[in-house]
Amino acid sequence: MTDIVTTHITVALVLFLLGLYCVLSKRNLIKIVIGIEVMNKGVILNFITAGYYQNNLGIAQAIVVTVILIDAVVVAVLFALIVNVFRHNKRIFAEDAARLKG
Amino acid sequence: MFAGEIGVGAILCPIAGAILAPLAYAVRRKMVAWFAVFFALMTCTLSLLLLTNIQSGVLLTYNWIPSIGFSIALNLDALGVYVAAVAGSIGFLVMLYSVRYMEHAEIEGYSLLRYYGLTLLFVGSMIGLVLSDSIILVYIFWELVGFCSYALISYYYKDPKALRAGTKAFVVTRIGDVGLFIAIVALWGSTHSTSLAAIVNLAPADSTLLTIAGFGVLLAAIGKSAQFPLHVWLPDAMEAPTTISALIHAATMVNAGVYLVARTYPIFSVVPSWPMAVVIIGTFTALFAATMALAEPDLKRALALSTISQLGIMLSAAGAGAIVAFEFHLVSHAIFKGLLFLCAGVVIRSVHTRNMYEMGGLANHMKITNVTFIIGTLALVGIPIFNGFWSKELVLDSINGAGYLGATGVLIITSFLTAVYSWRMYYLVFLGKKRTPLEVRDPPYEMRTPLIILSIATLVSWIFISQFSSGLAYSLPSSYGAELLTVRETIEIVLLSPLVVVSIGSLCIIAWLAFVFKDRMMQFLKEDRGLAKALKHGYWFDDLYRVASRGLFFVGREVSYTQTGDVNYNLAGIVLGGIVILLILILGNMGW
Amino acid sequence: MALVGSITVLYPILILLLGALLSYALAHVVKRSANYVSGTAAAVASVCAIYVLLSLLQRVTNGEVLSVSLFSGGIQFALNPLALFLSLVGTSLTFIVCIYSIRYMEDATGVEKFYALLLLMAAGIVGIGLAQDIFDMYVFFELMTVASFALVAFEKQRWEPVEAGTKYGVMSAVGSVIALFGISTIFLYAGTLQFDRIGTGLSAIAPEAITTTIIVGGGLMIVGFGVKTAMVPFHTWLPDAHSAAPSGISAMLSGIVIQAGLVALIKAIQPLAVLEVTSFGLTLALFASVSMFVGNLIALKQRDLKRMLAYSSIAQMGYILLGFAFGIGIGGKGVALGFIGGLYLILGHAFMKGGAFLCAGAIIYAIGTRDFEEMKGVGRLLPSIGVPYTVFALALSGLPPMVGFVSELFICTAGVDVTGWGLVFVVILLINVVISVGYYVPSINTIVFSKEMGTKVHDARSVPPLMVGTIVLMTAITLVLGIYPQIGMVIAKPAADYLFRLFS
Repeated sequence: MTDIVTTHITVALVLFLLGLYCVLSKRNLIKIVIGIEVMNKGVILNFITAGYYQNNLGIAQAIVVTVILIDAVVVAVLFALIVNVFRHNKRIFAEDAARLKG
Repeated sequence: MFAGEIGVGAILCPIAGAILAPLAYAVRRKMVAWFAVFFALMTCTLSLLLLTNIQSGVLLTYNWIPSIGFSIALNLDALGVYVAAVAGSIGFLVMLYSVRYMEHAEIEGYSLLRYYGLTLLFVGSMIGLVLSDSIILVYIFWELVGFCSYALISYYYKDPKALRAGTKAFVVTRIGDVGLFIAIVALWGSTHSTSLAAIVNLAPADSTLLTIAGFGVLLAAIGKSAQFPLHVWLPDAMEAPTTISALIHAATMVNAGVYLVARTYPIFSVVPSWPMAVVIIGTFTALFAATMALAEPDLKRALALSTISQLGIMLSAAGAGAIVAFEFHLVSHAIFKGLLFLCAGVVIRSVHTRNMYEMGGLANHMKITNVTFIIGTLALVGIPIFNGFWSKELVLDSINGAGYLGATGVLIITSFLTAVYSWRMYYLVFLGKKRTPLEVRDPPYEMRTPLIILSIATLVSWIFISQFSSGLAYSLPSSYGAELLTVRETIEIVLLSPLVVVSIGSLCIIAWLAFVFKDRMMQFLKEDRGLAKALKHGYWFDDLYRVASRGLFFVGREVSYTQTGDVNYNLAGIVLGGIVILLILILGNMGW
Repeated sequence: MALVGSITVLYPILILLLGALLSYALAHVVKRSANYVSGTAAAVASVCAIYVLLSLLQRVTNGEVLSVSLFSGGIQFALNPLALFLSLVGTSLTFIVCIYSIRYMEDATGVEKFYALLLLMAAGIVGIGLAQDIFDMYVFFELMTVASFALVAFEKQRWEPVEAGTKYGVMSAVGSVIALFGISTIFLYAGTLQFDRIGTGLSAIAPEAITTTIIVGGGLMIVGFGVKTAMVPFHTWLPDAHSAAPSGISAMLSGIVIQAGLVALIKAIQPLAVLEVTSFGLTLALFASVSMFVGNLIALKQRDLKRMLAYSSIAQMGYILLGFAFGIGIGGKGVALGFIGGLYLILGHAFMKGGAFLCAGAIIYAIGTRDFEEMKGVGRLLPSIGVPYTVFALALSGLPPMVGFVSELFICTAGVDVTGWGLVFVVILLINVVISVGYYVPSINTIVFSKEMGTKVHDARSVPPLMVGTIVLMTAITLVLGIYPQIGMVIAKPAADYLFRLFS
């Protein structure tokens, strides 16, 4: 595997792990969703790198575009849910969304 | 071929009755009782007809799940047919008795439809259980009778004790059922067959899977027949209506466990420690339960403990390979224990209590009940000319003959204890001063007839030993070791055996001792300290199970604290799980 | 859009998508009784989909390969027996839930969106089965998932669905992106994402790279799809989501959605598992065992009916997963019977658990509570709920002659034939079955055999026939599948054989 490819994969992995860290440690729901987004970007980068490595940029582009699309939809729905959390709670922190337990 | 249809009829007739019962109930509530009696009579006729249709070999195979190769079939050999006949006939007698016994149920808010429907379903499932050749079909009916047992124990659901008892019975027997399930899959794994008859003929050699299957069946028997250590459900099951106690918990369902051991004896006798384990558990339980019956104040619970003890004797017989003696005692016990329970029903219905210390002196007031109860008791104790005597002595003789001398000794001691607790029961209920202020009378004819029929059966059933044993010898493969036994041979074996001298001689000694020390013994057993307390509390086994189940709920609660409700924790759980998966995969790759 | 092959393969998805559009639009055209209009439209759409699938059943079972490819091989769909199985169970459940929800959701606002989302979710489920490469499967997986977010939080005026939906959404999204990373790893090394070509793609690269791919890619995909499958410890979203969702949706979620997640997982790791680099079967079996215990143990302490059923679903997924693990093989060759058992339990559980949730919904409709204390005796007052619930609860606890017992029989029989540790896992499953009796039977006691009536039971509304009818239908199916398993085998066996061939 060539240098470029390794670098790109590393960056993708770093993005992914940064997003994961964000998701695990932030208490603000919006920040958690942003963390998910960062993870997604890492994955997208990985796909592009894979396409380059496999000389199949056509499929890679198709996949990436679709992923961005799906991502947008997911984020939209998640934010809609967060808006509803806000409507009930006037806050959007994880502590307030922890009433269901056991 | 005709015999197979009778068998299927005997199974489906009561089940059809159970399904159609709502129609009768909708027409007029009380009609469902006679409707059920009618179906029970038909079932009884069919099951008795089966007695003339005993065959060896498997009938009516049906390829149930061709995709896998599971098929189900019937087996009409004497081992099963005798139990089916008992289930059908005692089922009918109990149903007849119930017409009067349960007549107040609707007024108290309990649906008669539930009672009769479940009882019919039960009878059908029980007959199905013993007529099945396929071990999967046995399991299906096994669970069905277990369900009927739970539902009928909980019949008086307004009493929380009844609900608890029903649930307890269901859960404890389900533990045993795990054993049967494992046996099914283990036998399939080693023989690729679900047909018990085929496996018997195959005579597989000892293997790990066979051992697992054997002890699985033993576990199932321990659960269903209330042997140690899964005996705790049967005394509590006495919350059921007494008719149900007679039918399910004395005459039929509880016999399913020991029946299965007897049926699979040729298969598992090759497993080294299996027969010995069976005999040990049976003998121990017999003694164990008999001691507890000595101090039990509740009439039905005492009879339940007595049943556990007698089942232990049967289990020992099965473990020793004495199939004729086993089956004979099973049938005898079903008759006289059913009789005793129905008598108890009459008594309890009159005095409105189950506590024997509140009864007494009823002999003069309920003459017929008194006589029938005496007959049942004498059979239980094993007095000559009653069927219990012959069957128990045959069992003792066979166990002794198979080489289990220690077991024989323990069982003889158990016989003494049986005599003591039986006599105590009779004394407390029928003799002495009448301690209840209520008026007591003999029961109406619907309840009297079954008592009389069963009493006659108790006196004469042993005369048919020759036909009984020839049926077994003819229809069972030789690996069961069943042989013809004429009446004359029986009398010779039993009366000439040294064991008889020991048994009867000791009985006389006990009787004399009891007579002399009667009052002191009664006082001792009534106390609430020392040995008597241990006996009364069942050696605190019940509490052990209660603690165990509390422990389980406690674990459940502790685990539930992992459900924190906090998103970050949940996500951390995902990450943690991911790390574990990667670890396992990496280790798997390295060849672990 | 060059299309090669039989377009009939796509009909179910197209019908469902069209149905989603129609049931939404019709409700705006016909301004009154939106729930009847939308619901009926949705039901009709699902019936059409079922009809198409059934008409193709014979051909697919006989081994005919029905496929279609778009964009000159870019996107491929194939109706193999597994896809047929998943689609049939999914659309049948959708149909029943549509009819049920006509009355159940009658007071909700925006109910046309409900049916549209329900059909979109169903389309996603069908698509998961039909997809022939991992990414297409992922797309439909996301369709199903996102639709279910909105459905869980549908009653947004209450707090509980909002919290449940949010946590479910966040966790599911994290799972999805983790799976996607695994998928990208596979793409990186294998150069293709088509199920039948990944193997060849991987064999062209260096062995160490193969190992990395399989472990990293496979592991991440198990995690990602495992969130949806509610494997422990990825399950924490499930109790809240299945309790808070409208009961028809709870039935769908427990009945087919998490199972679709499992099918997605199996399809995704299949190309990797056959390369025998590491034991996926053992991994799945271990996680299955943990799921069983966690699900059953926590269910013991539940005081809310739907929450208890939700934890029970986690445990049942453990049983199903174990069946599949036996099929894949634990340290040796797999047993086809394991797949049969797992698939049969998916089929049975859809109706047992689905039916139980519909009963819970009927109780909510009648007395407005899910709490055991408050619903005491409701089964006696309304035998149309009491009797079916008893059947479902007993079936779930493995009592014959119902479908739960038959499935467990298959799985355990498979376990004995599996080389190595099979019998240990069988014992674990059986122990769990006994533990589960400890909450199923008390729930029956509370609902049916209770002396007092719960506080709310006195003012019970009667349950509409539309709801009772669907519940009774589910009960009948539960009994029929148990007494005469060959009926279920018609779709389960071909699917199992197909899977077994794939994994050998």
